[in-house]
Amino acid sequence: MGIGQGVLIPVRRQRPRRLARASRRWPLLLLLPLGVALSLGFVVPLALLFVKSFQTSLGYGQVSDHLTFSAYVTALTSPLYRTVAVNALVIGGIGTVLTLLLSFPLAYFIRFRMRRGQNTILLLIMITLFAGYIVKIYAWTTILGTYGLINTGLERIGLISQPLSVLLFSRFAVLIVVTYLSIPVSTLILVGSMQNVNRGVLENARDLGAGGLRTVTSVLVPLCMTGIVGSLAYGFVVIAGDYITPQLVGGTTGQMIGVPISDQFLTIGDQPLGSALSFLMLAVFVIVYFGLTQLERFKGI
Amino acid sequence: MTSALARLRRRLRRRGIGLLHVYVGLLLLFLFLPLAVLIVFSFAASGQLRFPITGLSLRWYREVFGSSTVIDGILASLGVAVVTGAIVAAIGTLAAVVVNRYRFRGAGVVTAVILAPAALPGLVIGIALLNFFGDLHMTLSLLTVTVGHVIYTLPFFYLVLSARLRRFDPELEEAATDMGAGPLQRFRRVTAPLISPAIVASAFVVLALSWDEFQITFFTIGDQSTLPLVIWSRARLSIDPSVNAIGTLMVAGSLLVVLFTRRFIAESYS
Amino acid sequence: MPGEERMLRDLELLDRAMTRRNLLRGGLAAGAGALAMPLLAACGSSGSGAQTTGGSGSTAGTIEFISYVAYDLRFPLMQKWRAAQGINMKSTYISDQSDVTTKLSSPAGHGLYNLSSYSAQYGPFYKKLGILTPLDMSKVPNYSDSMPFFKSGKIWSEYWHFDGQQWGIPFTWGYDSINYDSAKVKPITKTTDFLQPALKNKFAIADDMIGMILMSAQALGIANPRGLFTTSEMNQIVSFLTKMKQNARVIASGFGDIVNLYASGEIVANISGFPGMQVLVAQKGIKTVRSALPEEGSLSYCDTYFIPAGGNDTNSVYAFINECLTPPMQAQEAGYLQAGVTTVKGAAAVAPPNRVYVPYNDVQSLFVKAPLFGLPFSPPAGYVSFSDWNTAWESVKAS
Repeated sequence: MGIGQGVLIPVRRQRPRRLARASRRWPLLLLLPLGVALSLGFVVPLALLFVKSFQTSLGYGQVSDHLTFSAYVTALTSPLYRTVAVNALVIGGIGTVLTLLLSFPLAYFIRFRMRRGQNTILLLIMITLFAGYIVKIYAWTTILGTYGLINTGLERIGLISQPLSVLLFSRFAVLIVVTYLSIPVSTLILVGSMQNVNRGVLENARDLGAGGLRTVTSVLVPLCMTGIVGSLAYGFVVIAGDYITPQLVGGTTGQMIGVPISDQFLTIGDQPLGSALSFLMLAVFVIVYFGLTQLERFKGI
Repeated sequence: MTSALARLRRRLRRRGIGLLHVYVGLLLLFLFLPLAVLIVFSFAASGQLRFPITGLSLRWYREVFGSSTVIDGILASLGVAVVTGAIVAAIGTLAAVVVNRYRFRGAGVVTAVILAPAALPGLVIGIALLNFFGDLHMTLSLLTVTVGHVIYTLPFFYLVLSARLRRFDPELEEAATDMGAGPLQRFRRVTAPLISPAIVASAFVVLALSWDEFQITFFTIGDQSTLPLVIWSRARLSIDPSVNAIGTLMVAGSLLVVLFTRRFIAESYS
Repeated sequence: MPGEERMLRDLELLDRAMTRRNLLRGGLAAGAGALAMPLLAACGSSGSGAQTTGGSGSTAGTIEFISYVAYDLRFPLMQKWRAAQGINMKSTYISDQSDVTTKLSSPAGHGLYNLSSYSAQYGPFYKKLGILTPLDMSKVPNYSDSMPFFKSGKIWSEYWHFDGQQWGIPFTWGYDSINYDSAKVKPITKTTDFLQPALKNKFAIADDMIGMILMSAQALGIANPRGLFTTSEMNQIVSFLTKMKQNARVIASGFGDIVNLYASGEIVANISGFPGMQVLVAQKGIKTVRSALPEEGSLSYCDTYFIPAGGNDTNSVYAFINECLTPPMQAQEAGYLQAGVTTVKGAAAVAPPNRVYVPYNDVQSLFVKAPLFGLPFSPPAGYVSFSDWNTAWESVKAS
């Protein structure tokens, strides 16, 4: 790396830097493809869907331009959707917290306790991610089923005499599977945010007398709050919005709101209702995000 | 009882295995258990997915390799993944570079809009796109699937690339400028070689995400199915170990890809 | 016009729902095409003795087919016959009958297809939409071999032959039943058995709206041949189904799921089922699944070939339809489609394994116990419409 003659280059800080440019406009041109892509692929479709939620349904695919709130009224007042909406929120909430609790120690271990092999273990975790979403869910039915791994194992050991039928086709099954599906990404998010935490900080805390767990909770957690919030937010969205897992392993009690929404669009055809339900679901997510960011502000440095 | 446990703990401690190690071991077991079940059952001779397994056989793999729908699905998935990767890499690199390098008003808004698709469940994105394509009277096809994948993977590409860009020393670029390099030259000679490993790594994330994507694809798929949709349709008809065989092949495939590209993906941990 | 709009909407919804039910079968036929091979081999191809129309010259052409997978009859015997006749076939597959409705009633679809199918109750509606062609029955001489139910009588004059013309040729039919694993549970004979504690958490309900609503109506004694229910009757049906759902282990979205649930031991019964379930589960090694027509009654379905208005090369289509009514072809269809056949000689030719799908010995009384119900597209005032059926079923599933 050559240095210009006689020009002193001042020492740079480690934090990310921005260059001020004389002309501010041309870089924005580079954002044009992104802008086009996002507008066409994301903003416009969402806006159209929002409009559709105010139209009147005439049955499959047909809507009239008569605008009304009736879809929202139905969505909010009909007891039809209450159970599945509550299921989605509860399983989403518990699932994402559980995911966080389970993956945090793993992330901590990978980031701070492994000298070598961190990449390997992260890659292995990524491989579990890409075994095929549907396939993994079906694999769980083999594990949780009446004649599945767990029941057969427990019976062999003699712990139970009858298979536990609640393991599969229940809320429990949905919770286990969605948590399982979210742990890899959550771990990656947490490891990513822990990377910004200097190992030295933790060691200092320990030198100052903080016990292992105390170090973690009062020092590490605030420092990687961004990652924690990110993990919680991502987990909640993915879990509460999952419409496949509840169909496959939820049985009759574990259905979640995503299922009737997708039914409305693919089978029944009341698209305004389906759209209204989607946006109500998004509204709830926004509230949850807001709550989570408050958490960050409260504890973060 | 407790003293036996305490003795065990001490013995493990001497080997450097603490509670945390045990926990991590158990969690990894949990993570890999379904994969193990998946792989084991793909060799089950009978079509039943239950214990005990009565015999071993390769018939499901034979069936999978002989199935044109599976092969077509693999090709479709590959095609969509590669095209998605290319588009996202192009758009996303520009965006990440611009936002990370230059200060301008509205950078926060741009970042928020870029990341917004990741904040929505695939269900809503899929529905919005299905509705959109319907309004445009567009036939659903692998093209519409690709659109969905681009939108879905863009935030992740952006996040991963931004994170890596932030660790780069801008000094190198400034040095080039100071030596009189114009923006294009600077990009070609300094920036691009420096960030290409990061771009490739981020692009692999896109490929992996697109390859496995189901929830959005479900709504935007036309006549040709991607592999996850092929698995889904097969499972609708009859769940037999051929689904496991496909899953096992997918695991093997991702293992190979990951091993092959470790160089790009691996980061250094300090 | 609101009335017509509503009718069109209900028609669309009917398509969706019927389609799902058909998909449960039809989709299975596709994958079961491979499974059906052993059955086909067992059938063999009995000698000809069938009437075929014309020589290859006059019937050569292309069939542009649009309907479910498997309804284009691509089993080897038919493929050979078509090759000999010089008849090509281009197939467009649908997952919903509504695709047929949409494609054929739009100007863009006119003339694109010359062979399709409708579920029997559609006949008059499709005629109203103007997408049917009156059939030249002189080109389908084998139709005269149809069982009496399919070529005469009340239902015939409602769905297939009205306004002085024949509009469709029924070619495949079946009925909904109850299935159970006789090795694990005593024979189940009534729909109401599924509300009993003995079956708690042990059976699957098929996601088959029409089947479940009508079977419940039969069990409650309020079934109506035109499919008309008052609001309070519908509420009765909904609460009946909700109770049943709470007693069930799972609502299965496809027959493939149900087969797997039997195989993995999760369930011992399912409703609504069909007689072919025992064949399907036997493929997985469990040979003890049985089918029973519920005592309270059930429902039937029947699919019908028709020629979309504006279709070309109709000679090829007529030849094809006529050929599918010959005994050897009918025998193959029984196994390929896992359903009943509609001709007398065809029924006689069906091999024993494939005779399980419908009671050939007494077709007439089956249709009494399991009628071809009408569906409420545009019901008279005071009765719930087809879209209400959808809402009702969704509420059962979400409850």
